[in-house]
Amino acid sequence: MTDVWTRIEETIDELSHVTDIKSCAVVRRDGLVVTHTLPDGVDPKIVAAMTAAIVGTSEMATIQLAQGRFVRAIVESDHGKLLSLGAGEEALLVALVYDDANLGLVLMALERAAKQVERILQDAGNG
Amino acid sequence: MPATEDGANRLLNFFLYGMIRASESLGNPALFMRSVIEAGLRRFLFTNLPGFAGAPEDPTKACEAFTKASDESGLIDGRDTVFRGDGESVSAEIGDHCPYRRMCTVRHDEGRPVFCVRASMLAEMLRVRLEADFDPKLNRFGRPCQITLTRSRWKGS
Repeated sequence: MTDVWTRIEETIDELSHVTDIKSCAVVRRDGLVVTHTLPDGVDPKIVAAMTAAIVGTSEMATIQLAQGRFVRAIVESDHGKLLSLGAGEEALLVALVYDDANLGLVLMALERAAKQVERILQDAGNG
Repeated sequence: MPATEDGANRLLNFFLYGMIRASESLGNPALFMRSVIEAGLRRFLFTNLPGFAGAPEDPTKACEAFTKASDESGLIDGRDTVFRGDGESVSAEIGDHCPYRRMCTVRHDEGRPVFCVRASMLAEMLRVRLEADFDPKLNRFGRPCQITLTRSRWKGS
C-alpha cells in the first residue's frame, strides 16, 4: 500500500497545478511540515509554524467570539493571499495564491484537497 | 539564583505552567510548547550535554543515553526512568523524581490536559539528533507516569 506521505504528496502536487495557486503545503497542527511545493528561498518550517499559529489563534477567536465553527483564515497582502484551513484533526492545508486569483475556484480546490488529506489520514489511522 | 533546590523547582514549574496556560489561551499549545522545547533543546544539546555527543541510532538507546547524560549533568534525576522498546516505539515509566511533576500535578488537579515535557523533549531529541519523527504521548499521569513515543506515520518510507 502506498504510504501516507506519498498519498499526501500526490494530493499537494495535484493542487499545485490549479491555476492561481502559487504554492501550497500540508502541515501538522503542531507546526511541523508534512510536504510542500513552496519556492526556494521560503523556509517551509517557518511557514508551517506560522500556519499552525494563524489557524490556532483564528479558531480560538471564533470560539471566544461565539462565531461557530472556524472555516478558514485568509491573509491578504499586496502581492497575494495566504489561505489556511483544517484538513482533519491532525493536519492543515495552506496555499499561497495570486492577488487577483479567482477565490471561488481556489477555495473549491482547497476544500477538496483538505477532505482528501483528511481521508488519507483516517484510512491510515484505521489501517 | 533561588536559595534552595525547591525554590528553583518551583520557579521552573511556575514558568512552565504560565507558558502552557498562555499558549492555550492563544489557541495552539502543541505548537507553542514544541517550538519552546525544540529551540531550547537545540541550544542545550550543543552546549550543556557534552556526554551526549554521539546519539545511538536505536531510539530506545538514544532516549536512555539522553536521560543518562541529563542525569550526569545534574539536570534531572534519571534513576527512576525506565525505557523499553524497539525501532518503532519507545515506552517509558517516569517516577517521582521528575522535575516537572509539580506542574503536571496542578494541571491534573485542575482537570486540564497534562502536557508531558519529558515525552516531548525525547521526541524533539530524536528529531534533532536522529532525524527520526516520533509522536509523543502521555498514556497515564501517575506514579509512575507512562509515556510512549511512536514512529510517526507522516514520513515517507
